[in-house]
Amino acid sequence: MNMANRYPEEKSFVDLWYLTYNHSFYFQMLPLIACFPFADSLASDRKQGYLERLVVRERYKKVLSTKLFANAIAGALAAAIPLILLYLFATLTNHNPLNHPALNTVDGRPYEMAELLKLYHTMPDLFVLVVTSAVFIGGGIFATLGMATTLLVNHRFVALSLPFLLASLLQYFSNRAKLLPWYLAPSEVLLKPNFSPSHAFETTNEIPYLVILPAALLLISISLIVFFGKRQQVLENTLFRQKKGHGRIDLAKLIPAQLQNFPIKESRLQRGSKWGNYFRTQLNTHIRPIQIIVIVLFMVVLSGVMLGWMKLQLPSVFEPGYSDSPPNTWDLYFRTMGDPWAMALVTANLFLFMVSNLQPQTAFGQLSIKRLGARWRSWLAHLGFLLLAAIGYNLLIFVVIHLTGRVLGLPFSTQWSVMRDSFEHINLVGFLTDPPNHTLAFATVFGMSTIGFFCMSLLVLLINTLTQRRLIGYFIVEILLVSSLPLASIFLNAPPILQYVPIIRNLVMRFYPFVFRNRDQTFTSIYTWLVWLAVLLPFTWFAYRKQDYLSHPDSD
Amino acid sequence: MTNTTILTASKISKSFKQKEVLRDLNFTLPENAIVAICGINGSGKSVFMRILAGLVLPDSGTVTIFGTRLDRRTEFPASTGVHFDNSGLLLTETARNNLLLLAMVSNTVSKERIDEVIRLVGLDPADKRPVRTYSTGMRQRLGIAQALMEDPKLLMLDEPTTGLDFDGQDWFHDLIRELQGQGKTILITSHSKEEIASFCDQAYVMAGGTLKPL
Repeated sequence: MNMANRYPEEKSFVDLWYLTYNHSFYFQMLPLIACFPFADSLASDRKQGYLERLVVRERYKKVLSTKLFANAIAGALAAAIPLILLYLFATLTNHNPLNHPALNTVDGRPYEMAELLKLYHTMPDLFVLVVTSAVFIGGGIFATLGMATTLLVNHRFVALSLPFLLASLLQYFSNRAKLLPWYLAPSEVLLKPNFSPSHAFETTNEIPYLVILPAALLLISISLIVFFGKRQQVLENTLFRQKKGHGRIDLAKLIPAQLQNFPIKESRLQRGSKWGNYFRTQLNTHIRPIQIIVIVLFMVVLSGVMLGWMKLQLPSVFEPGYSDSPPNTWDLYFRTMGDPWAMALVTANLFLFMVSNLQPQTAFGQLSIKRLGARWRSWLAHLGFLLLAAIGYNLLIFVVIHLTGRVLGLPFSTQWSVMRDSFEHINLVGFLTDPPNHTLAFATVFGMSTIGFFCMSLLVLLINTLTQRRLIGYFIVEILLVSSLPLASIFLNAPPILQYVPIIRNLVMRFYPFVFRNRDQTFTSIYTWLVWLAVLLPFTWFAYRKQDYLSHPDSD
Repeated sequence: MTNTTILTASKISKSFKQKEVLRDLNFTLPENAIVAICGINGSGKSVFMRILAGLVLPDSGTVTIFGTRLDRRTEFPASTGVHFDNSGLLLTETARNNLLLLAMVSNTVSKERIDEVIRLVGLDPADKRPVRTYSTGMRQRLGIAQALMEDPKLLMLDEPTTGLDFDGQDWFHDLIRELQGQGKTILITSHSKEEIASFCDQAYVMAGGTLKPL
């Protein structure tokens, strides 16, 4: 669909406003934007002891409620202000008539939701107010959820990232995978129904369903505050209230010690090179078994969803006897790795999250580097770590997807299945003509995603090094990645070189305009990643060489 | 204390954005001495210690330790143990695992030495509790243990007695004297005048980005 071509010039200010809101993926970024101003302040105050100083001067309940209220307002305003500014910009710069005949069927107008459609045509300012209010409330709810989750896990990273992760997963599993009801997708609640494949609002009777997700999120937040927000729990940093005869329980005790860390082998002492051992300590301290378990769980669910999607789209090929070469686990692998939404919101997202804490160095990391003897060795070890992580992560998900497919009834096979020629497949047939084999297809998909993950993680590393903040790099790169989904549509008719700018096009095989890729397009994607490497390697090297290892709150 | 100088810092300047923290600072450290640097919070003591340890790069000036100038070829000084206010410990690991991980990188420490140094600071190497459960004083002791682990000739300790109780402070002073007796040189920062008067050979005060004898 080429929006740029189909959209007439006669758009009114409300068309411009709503189209920008819809196409900017603002609803996707909303949890991040809402949580940025204040959601992590409770975690920071607890860690720095500021909360204790507050509660000796004011009642605890008042402190907590004031903090929650201020956070909700800050989150709501942070979410709504960009839309208000957009409204001002659109009204000041656009004076076209509202109901141009050419616009009646244009994408971007709310044509499914009867009441909103009336408002859109008769009182556009009120329509803008309604949507902005939904975003305002949504911002407040996500910000509250972010702050409330730190009562469970006292870390600012959780406050900022968990609402975003939750919203992304809900969006994917509800709106794309159809595994959850339509009204659990944040986009629907934030009144972006037009581009939803669900086409939910055919009657106004369905509007009350929109309350379910905000109510559920609020209920979760309130439950967290009620069960884990007691004065004693918060100030003493214990998860459950201490009762007579019961020992203190904290979150760490709920996770077995062996799942928190890999065991450290004493036999490593005085063996191997300093660099090699430093590399191992990086693996020991940054890759935890619990992370791997979480990744496996996510990928099992994702590949299960993908199989369901394949069966939904092409039910006949799964029927017994339909073909001599039924769908096999390779189909599931190529389908999962070829889905741009799954890649941006789940697969790449999890990887970036996993490797986002290499920089800035913790105080422990600083002591390690001093023993290592040179900054460049740390840089090299981190590059090696990221490359190994990218390869290992891709191999892990390769194995998990195949095993999940096998458990769900797909056969292993060395042959292409009947799905080879369908849209639901990798669509590499034209590329892999002589001979069409899985090895080359796997090498292409695996190579593109590995080098892509490596490059993106390098960008995370660079941003974190320059800003000396852990969260910033992950958030910026994830925003770039998610933004590349609409950007790919916008750049549809751009000069060829610009078509490779959106990150997602170089991560998955089939995406606009590469519905059927050829060899040149694939190589151009790989060259694009090589350009990334050529830029990022010297920049990260320079950043490491000039880096000061200072004490700061993010260190431990 | 001998007449041999093991550390020389000359004309060190360092600014962060517009704020000048150190200005043309000169400093020498004699061998086998206990030298203290004091000063108000934010005066630049820790930044100076980090420059000496190679962790922070000065805008201008040079640092020479054991005859080797810190530059691109030698970024961190040899045979130097450091402990900073931020103890540098993995909170999810045991004390022994923390030192094991660091010892893997330095590649010169045996597991017997790790156990010995943990006992030396009054902790138990067999303690299976993660460092998260340690008190501030215990973390300080473990931080000092990691600085001592490789048996360095020079120790740089940033506010090492913060969080230690009275007995702990006495223990620390005894330890420092014993280390001096073994021929080591110790540079510490401190807020306590009594502490400086009781066992330091020299003391300086950091003010206006430079060091002046106390």
